[in-house]
Amino acid sequence: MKKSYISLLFLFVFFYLPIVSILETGLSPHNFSYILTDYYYQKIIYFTFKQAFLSTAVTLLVGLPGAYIISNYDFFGRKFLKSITMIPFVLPSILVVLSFVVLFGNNGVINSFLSHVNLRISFLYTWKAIILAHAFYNFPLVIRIVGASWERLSVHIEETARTLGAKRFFLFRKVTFPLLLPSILTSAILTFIFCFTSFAIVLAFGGVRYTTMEVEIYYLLQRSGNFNLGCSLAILQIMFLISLMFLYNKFSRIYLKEEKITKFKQKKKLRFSLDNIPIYLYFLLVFFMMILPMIAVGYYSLTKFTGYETVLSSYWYKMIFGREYSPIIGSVALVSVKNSLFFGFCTVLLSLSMGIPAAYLRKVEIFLLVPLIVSGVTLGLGILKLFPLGGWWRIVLAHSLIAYPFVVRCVYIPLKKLDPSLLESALSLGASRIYAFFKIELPMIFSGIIVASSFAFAISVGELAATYLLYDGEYITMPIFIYRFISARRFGGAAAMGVLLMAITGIVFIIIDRMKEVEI
Amino acid sequence: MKIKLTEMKKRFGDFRLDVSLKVYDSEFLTLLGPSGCGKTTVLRIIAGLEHQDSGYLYFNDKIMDLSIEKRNIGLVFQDYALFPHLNVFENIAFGLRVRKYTKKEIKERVEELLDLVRLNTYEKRRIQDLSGGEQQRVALARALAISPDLLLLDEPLSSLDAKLRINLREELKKIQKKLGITTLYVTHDQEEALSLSDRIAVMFDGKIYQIDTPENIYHHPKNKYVAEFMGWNVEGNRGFKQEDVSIGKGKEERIANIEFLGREVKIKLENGIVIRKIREKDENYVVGDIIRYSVKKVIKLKRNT
Amino acid sequence: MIEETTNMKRFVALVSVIALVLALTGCVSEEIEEDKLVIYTYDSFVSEWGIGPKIVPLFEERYNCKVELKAVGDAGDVLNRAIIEKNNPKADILIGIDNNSLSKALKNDILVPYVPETIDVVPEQFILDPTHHVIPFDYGYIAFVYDSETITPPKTFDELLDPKYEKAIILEDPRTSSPGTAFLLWTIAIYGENYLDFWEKLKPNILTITSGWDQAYGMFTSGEAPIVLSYATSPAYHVEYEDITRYKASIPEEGGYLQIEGAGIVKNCPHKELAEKFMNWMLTEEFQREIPLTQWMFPVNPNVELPASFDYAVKPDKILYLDSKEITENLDRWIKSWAELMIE
Repeated sequence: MKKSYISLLFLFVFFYLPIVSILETGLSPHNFSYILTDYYYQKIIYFTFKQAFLSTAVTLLVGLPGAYIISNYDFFGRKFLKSITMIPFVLPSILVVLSFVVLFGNNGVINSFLSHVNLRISFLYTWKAIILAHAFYNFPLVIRIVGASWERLSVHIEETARTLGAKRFFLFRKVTFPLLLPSILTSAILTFIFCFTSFAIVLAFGGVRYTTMEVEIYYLLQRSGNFNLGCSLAILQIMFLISLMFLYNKFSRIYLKEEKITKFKQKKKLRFSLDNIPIYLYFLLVFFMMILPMIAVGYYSLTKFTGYETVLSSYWYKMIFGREYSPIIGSVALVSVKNSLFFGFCTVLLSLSMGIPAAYLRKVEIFLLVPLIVSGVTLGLGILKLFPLGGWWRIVLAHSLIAYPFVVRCVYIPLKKLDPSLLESALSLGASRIYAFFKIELPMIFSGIIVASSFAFAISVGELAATYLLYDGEYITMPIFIYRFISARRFGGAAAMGVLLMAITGIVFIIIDRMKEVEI
Repeated sequence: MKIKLTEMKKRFGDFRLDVSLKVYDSEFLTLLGPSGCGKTTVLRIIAGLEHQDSGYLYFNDKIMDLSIEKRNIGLVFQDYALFPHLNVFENIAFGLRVRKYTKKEIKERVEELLDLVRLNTYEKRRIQDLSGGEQQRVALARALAISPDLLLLDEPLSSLDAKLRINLREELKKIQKKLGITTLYVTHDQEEALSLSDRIAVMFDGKIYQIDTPENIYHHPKNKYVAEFMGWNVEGNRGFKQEDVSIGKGKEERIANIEFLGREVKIKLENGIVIRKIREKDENYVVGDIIRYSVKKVIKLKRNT
Repeated sequence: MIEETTNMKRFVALVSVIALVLALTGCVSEEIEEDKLVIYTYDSFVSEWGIGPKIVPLFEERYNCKVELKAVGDAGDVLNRAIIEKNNPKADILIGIDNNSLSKALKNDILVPYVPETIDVVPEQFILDPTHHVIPFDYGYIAFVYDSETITPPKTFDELLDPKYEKAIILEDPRTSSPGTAFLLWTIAIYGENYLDFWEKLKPNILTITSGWDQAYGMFTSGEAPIVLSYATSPAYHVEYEDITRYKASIPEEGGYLQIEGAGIVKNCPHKELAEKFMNWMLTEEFQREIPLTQWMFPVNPNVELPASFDYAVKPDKILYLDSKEITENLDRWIKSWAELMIE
């Protein structure tokens, strides 16, 4: 497939070359020994692992009960809950930051209530905020992956075990849990990797005291222009991630290989009874974690503090849609919306043209695993080094490189299901390969392409890490806008833009959801 | 152990199950019928996996209403449902571990069963590495390990190929006779039912239409439905067996299809009638030939009740 | 399949329309060359209540040009951005370099020296850069600003370590914030090389360390902690605009630390002539008189009259300072050791 080689070449030039350029500068034993022996960096590396580990633990704690409920019970809104589990893949993490600030900040919604009883929560300036934000962001992932696995657990296996005498706890311990282990581990590692390379959340809540490798690389570039050390740190991060990637690969193979069970688990109807109170409490928790922040952000976008009191006002929306120059971002607010949409659109085109041919390659797995080892900052750093003269297209490139493995995945699954005899019939009837592609294959993988485009768009529109490195102070995007406004403590403006970003992301999410079962 | 079901009723939407049944101690009883007739449901009710709407279940004349774990039943599904994360030994030992047998006892018993199903060296093997027939035997061994009072088998041979099916069928029968365990078998394959069972219960649409020995059912089906299921030719309310047709004299008809079954040949005529006979030496029928046939023995059949 | 092909066609059509629309609206920001002045500065400078909105129209009218004031974050970000853009500078003037970050600016060679015609009006002690790369425009003393209704301030630095101040203090990061650097140097001026001991003991009393003054002060006024590291002139703001006297400043006995703030012309900047005009103008009364009520610092031009509210600003009895050469040589090391200590 010649097309695939072009894609491979493209990939090589634009993906590996940035990484290679990082290697070129950063592969210095002197730097490595410096980093690994320096107390400051040791602490950073240690904290990176520690927070990722704790975040994963909390995420599992919150997510596993959800997986249990969704796979064992039938209730009103179950399908909706299942759809929601897609959110972490399309939600920009900057929105999590915004929600947290708006909810838990000192002037936030929760503290406004608590102040009446003279209480206050102030964990926003500790590592606890980072852990919680990570858990908040990732727990739907656990519900999705483990829930899907639990649902497919062979009913017959459990029934047989019960006839052999196994009672509830023994059954869970000896049969159900071991069979769920691959999916639990898969979701755990995925979460770990995300938390390891998390940027927006650590940047916003870590302050001075809590930094991870990802944020530190950014600081090295921004504060001291120390490309040298930055590259070395990036390489170190990649090495850590490669080992994690191997682990992920191992577990996800087992998880994905699970037999296609024909009979799904019989779900119990959820009735109003005292026994089910823990389940209702869980629903309440999910509501708080998912719906409340959105409401809080909306509230902030519609109110303004005049100096004496808070009033309902469309000030912030007027500001972001108006022609007023905002010095905080150095341009008119609307420009950031236009930029985001434009970059998003270009990203879709570029990542589709890279990803679709790549889906034809036999060794597709490499592409699917690669996003795990290259973080946003690392990619931005590589591109910065390769193309130092600037240009908005660098941002599109970065976004496309982040998005295109998702494109490959979305396209290659329906492609795999495509019956090869269809193509063969077309070719035997005289169609050229290209013609056959457009007339036969493309329509069949069309829904996959729609989903792929949606992913690419959502990823582009929500990306912060690489964009922040590459925007030159000029090409403001919506996430950058939100982050700058949060830093400048103009929460109303951040919230209004946040609502807009949520709306765009929401539309994308609905599109993806409407397409049939997306397999992740 | 003997089993009794009295007026066992269950409803799913339009489907109504309504059976009364007695299973004798040590007997091999087969529930035979097409998919959807309710035979699996009966099995599951006996196992405790489902509950009836009304009616009673007796084990040895005592009402059985214990939970699944306490019924001491052996169950084998069509998909075997072996534990994929355990090896052969551990699969078979599962029920014993639940009952807290000692290590020594478990080892002895598992070896005993491996011997019974002729898988002696398979202890450490992984389930994924076993063939279909081997898996089935492990499933059987696992069910028998706990010395159940009752063995329930839900189409255990359906996913195997023909030859293997026949082999395993024989083994199953042998084991059952050897252990003398009351066995309830569910299948849609009448040949299987005929060869394995002490008695057959033919089911259709939630009811038992006839329950009798294989010979009686085969030679004396009570109604049209049972006759058809046994492969009889049915015309109106009269029926005759495939082998009760002689060729040479009588009505004329064209051959629509011929199946060679080795020693026998099955000839299907265009009017739907099936003739089964032993191939004569120089017989050479071809599709499209016109032959004459006459029926030797006809039975009057009741309507489906 | 036919339906899918129709859907596909619709999709392609939709996509092309969007593409056309976006292309026509010209999405990416463009640079139009005209006579303008580009200034990089920090967030509070450009805020609605900052000095930016006041001086920009004045300069624009006087010299008939456009001024593009860009906030790039905190004072540290201003310097860093300029360093990154070194080979292709987009800014003409950097505002926000002080006596503490002077050495970094000089070391990176991003400014050109310029002696404004009006330089003589500045008193000797406020000339922070004898090489005139950075021209001063205001000064102040950093101090502990506290909420007098909830807390009493420490009289000495050692008292700051007392458990009664647990999680009570908001500080700024010396790596990015101008008062942050000043505070670090303040502690070094007092404790010398033992400053790390002080910081170690101070840790439990710090609520958080923000990257910029804006954030820190915003947190202070919204009540998140009762003490913030800010300027001795901060209380004057509240008196002037809010008629509040509860926020007060305190400088411990050991002495106050002087901070001088300045601006510089970027090397190879695109609009050098306009930049020089700005530097001249910066020291005139027209600019300087806006300083007290927006920057809440003291203007270097002594001819400017201070508002009454400035009576509430605190002036230290003793002034501490560190030799600028000492700072140049050691700042990186001091900051690194500090970072090592403070990071978790």
